[in-house]
Amino acid sequence: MTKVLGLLLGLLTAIGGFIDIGDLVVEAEVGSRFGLSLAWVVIVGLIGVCIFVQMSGRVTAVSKRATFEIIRERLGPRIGAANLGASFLINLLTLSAEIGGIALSLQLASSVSPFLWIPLAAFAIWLVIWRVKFSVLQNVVPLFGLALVGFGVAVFLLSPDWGALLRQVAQPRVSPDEHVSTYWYFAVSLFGSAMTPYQVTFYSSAAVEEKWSAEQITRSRLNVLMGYPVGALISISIAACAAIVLMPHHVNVSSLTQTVLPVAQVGGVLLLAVVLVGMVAATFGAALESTLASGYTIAQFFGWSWGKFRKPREAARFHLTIIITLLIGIGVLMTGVDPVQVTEIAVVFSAIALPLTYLPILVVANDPSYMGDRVNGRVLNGFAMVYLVIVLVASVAGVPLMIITGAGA
Amino acid sequence: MRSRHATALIRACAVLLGATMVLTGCVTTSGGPPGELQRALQRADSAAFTVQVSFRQLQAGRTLPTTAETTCENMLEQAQTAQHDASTVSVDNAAQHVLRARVAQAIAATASLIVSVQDYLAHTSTASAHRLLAQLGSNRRLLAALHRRLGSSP
Repeated sequence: MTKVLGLLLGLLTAIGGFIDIGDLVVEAEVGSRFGLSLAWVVIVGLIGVCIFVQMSGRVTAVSKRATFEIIRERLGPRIGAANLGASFLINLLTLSAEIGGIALSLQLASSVSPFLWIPLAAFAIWLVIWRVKFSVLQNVVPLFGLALVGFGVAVFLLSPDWGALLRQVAQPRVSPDEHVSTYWYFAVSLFGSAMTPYQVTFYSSAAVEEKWSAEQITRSRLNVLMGYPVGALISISIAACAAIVLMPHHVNVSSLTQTVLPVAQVGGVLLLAVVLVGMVAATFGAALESTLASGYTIAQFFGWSWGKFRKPREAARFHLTIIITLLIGIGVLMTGVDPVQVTEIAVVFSAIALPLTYLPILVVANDPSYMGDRVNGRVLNGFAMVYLVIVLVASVAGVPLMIITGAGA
Repeated sequence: MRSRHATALIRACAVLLGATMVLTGCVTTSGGPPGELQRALQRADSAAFTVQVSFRQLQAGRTLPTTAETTCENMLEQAQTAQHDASTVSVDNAAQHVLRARVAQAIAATASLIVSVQDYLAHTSTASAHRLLAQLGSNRRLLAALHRRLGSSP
């Protein structure tokens, strides 16, 4: 019974942990402009993130070392530094976006300015990382993020024309009001949002934090393979809500207030409150993960003592990195930049930096000196290679598309 | 040999940059001044619609007052951005000049209506909710009419 409950908890955690501020902003924007014609990107991104998250977890479980430590050792300091630079900068941008997301979600529930929430949110993140056990941090917060299933409930309550929605998914089209390049810009954004690098860093380091055994790897693989797809469904339902309510009125989503508009329309105050809880939890959970990921990447690259399984004084530089990262995140947001725009930029740059973060994992996962007979199989390598091509194309296309479309304007 | 490679690289970058700039011009400013004014109207209409729906939801007890207040705040920013965008469009002739003024005026009215809704939510206004909703509706009709007119203008 305890095992079943443990499995269920892990599954629910994976569902809640899949969604972050990137999904909340970009999915609603995409839904209001393109309907569900970009749902295929979420599916492509989902498969990709499952492949690489699992690979990274397996590398750690077999070698008993976090991915970044091995990457530097295996590929040398130059490529290691490129990998570190790309991952850390994207983490920093993502972290700023997530803190902004917490502040914006709390603003919806309190109408207090997000600029007052930002320092409080960052302090709460630091406090949780400093004081709360890793297992609690990893399981409890994303569990509340599951409240975002309210978007799925809203889709059913809206009683849409299911045939029309399915046609948008199966026969993607660009409406005459939109330019093809804008469609592809949002495709890259959604792909970047689904494959955010911090998830891989966090997952691999979590395997060390919790001293995963082979049995736990199998269970965690099951959680990810079953939980992430449900998370992706919630993600698509955010786009569906916007497609049903906002798209017919040509509304361009530019804030979280518009994301929750369809929920309040059919679910009233109760469903809105549930979704707001989910939004705060999802962004808070993602902020915790991306903050920790920043500490992990730097500490693992430089060979410092790291991890929450150690007392803070035994991993002082790791904790100091986390504090500095949070302060930079606050600084970025306090310049007055719109957190929604930070999110939009973060997801595009995630896509641009993907080859630097995913290629080294693939190289290490194929190295018998680290993996022994547990190197990638042919099928997995085949899928991974296809994904590397997609990742490369998205990476190369990201900046030109951003310039051409005026960041999707 | 090295310098030849460097020159080729610089040329390739220049071509890429040029192509990007041309494409940029094709998309973000497509449609000329009427297109830019249409985009400003679209942004203002999005803001007006969002406030209208959120305000209706609040009247029906379907949303939180805090959410409605935040919606107004965010959408006021959108309307003000649209107003700024419209008033800074470079026009080519007198007819476009008149149109730009009318668009900027209509968007200013949107922003002003959103402020009225904010006053209502803060209990500092005597206007009725019904009247505010009706005014938002007629403002949206005006924005739509201007959008259509710009669509048919050369």
